[in-house]
Amino acid sequence: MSFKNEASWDRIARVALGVVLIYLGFSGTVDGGFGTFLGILGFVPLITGLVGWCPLYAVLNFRTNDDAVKSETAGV
Amino acid sequence: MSDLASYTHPTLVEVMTPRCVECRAMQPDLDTVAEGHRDMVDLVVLDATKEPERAAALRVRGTPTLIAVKDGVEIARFVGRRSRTELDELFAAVAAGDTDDVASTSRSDRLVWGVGGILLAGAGLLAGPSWILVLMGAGLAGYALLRSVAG
Repeated sequence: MSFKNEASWDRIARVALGVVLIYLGFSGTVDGGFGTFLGILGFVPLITGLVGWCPLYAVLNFRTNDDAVKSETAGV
Repeated sequence: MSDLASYTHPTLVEVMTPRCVECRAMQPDLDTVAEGHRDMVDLVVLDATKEPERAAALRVRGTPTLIAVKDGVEIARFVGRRSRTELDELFAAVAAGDTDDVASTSRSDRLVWGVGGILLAGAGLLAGPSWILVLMGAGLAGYALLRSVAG
């Protein structure tokens, strides 16, 4: 039932990456269709970072906020 | 909520599932903090996989969910993992019967939203400016600030 599958560092990295891509698209640093594509693409990591849930992680059954699992499997 | 009516002592109900990673990550801190507040606040752990009807009756939509109960009535609920400091604040608030000052969102959420909002607004200012980005960023940062102040 817990939906978050990203650690805080992962979320902040996604937000930063998203903002950079959005800036490149919106500022005209990268112009043309590719710039527009980058600007729109940037919202994907931005939103997944803000929400803390990545659909790709969910499909692959992967998560970065797995510190509890690591502790248990290490026998700590 | 009739299910909570029997909890006349200040109580924190934790709804969890064994497979929930965030629940398992929070559990050691929760147990430690609960032990420290044992005389003032009861901790009730509800496994939603063993008692799905009770979890449904409590309208639980995600785990971990912490439900603060005073005089048998729910006074607040908090969804998501909390740090030990946040749990300490939460138990103290439940013991005092006043959870108004406890933020309903976790500190990590507010941090990500705040940083994201500031970065987005900054990128908007640098990109033109693009006022739609500035507005979105300011709104996001403002919301994070509001959740920090208003709880």
